[in-house]
Amino acid sequence: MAILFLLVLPAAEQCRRDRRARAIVGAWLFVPLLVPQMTFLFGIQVLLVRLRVDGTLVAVLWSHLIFALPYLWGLLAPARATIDPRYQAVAATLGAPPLRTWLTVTAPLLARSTLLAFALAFSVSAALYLPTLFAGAGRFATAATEAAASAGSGNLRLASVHGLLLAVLPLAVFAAAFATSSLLFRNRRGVPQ
Amino acid sequence: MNGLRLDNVTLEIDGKGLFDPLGFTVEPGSVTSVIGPSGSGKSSLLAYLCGILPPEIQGRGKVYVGDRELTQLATEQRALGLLFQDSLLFPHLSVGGNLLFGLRGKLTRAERCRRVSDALASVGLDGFADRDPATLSGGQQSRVALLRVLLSGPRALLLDEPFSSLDDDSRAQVRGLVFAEAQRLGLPTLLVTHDREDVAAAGGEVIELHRPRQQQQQQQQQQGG
Repeated sequence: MAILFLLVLPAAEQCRRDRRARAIVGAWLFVPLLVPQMTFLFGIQVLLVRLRVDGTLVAVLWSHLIFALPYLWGLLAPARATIDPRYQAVAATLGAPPLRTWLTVTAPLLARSTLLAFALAFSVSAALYLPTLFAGAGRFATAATEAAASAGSGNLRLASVHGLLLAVLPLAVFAAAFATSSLLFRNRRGVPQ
Repeated sequence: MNGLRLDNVTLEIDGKGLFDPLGFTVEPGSVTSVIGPSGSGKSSLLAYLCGILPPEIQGRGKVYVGDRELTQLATEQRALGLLFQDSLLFPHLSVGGNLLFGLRGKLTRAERCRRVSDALASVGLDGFADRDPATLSGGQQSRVALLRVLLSGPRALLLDEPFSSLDDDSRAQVRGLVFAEAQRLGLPTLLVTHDREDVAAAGGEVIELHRPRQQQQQQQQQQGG
């Protein structure tokens, strides 16, 4: 998860002035979502086997990253671009070097979007079935793989519990994200939503 | 106290100058007004002085405070106080947090808090330190923005139409406060505006930005032909 933000936030920083650059990056990131999953995943699978990393945790994380990244980008890049650049100008003229400006001004203004993006990425990741199965070589049990497995088992109670879990997990994370963001800025009406 | 001196300063977009090179000095405690039509590069001039020009505009010329050249310094080392049309208080910080942001020097926590509450009291905003800046009126926000700049210990003040978003009452009030503080602290102040009232209230030298002569002539020829 941290990796995701380490990738996305600097990129968003780079593209904050350039609408076209954002659109191009976005379009490339969305390719994995648009192409048919079976063929795309097969290619990924071949790559993972070649690299001899299939069935490892790293491979699972990476495959999830591919699918979560476009959502993160779609949320964070515009959020970064809409922050008034004059806030940074003010911070700099008040004597804050760039890193301090980013940490004390830009990051807090992005906090709401970041929390939301985290929840979104989590729910995307939680729902991924095929990538988990492929990249993890069936060795990693997630809510999605368990739900799919139990759905075929004929045990209706078990299947419904897993189905419920699949719904409750993202809900809980979204609730936590919203709670955190309203707690962080409980007396700050001016912070962008 | 040191004046703010501009030496042969000009701005260019794609190699075309926005105005004839400027050279003047703003004396400590006095207010020099820069006027000109919109698009003449008034605001960009201030951005150049601060070192925050957008990449599509190139600036030339040197800027000094006293004998010290600022042009090569990073924005955060120039210590030029910049006020915009909007107060631009950081929305995620309290009023006090905003004031603490620029407060420099080695001070204990208690001292810092005292400086902040003293500053607020000096403009009639006692006890506002914990308030959400979004709940303040426009005039109050402007006053807080001014305090934030002053607490950062600037060498000069740069004002980018800071009064134009205020209603008439608070405008005169805030304007008076800004000029009085600048004078009290002996800060050279450069005011960019299109409002004649501001210029009259500033009372200092007035500099009008023109398109470079060459371009004007070219334009006239084109219109004539």
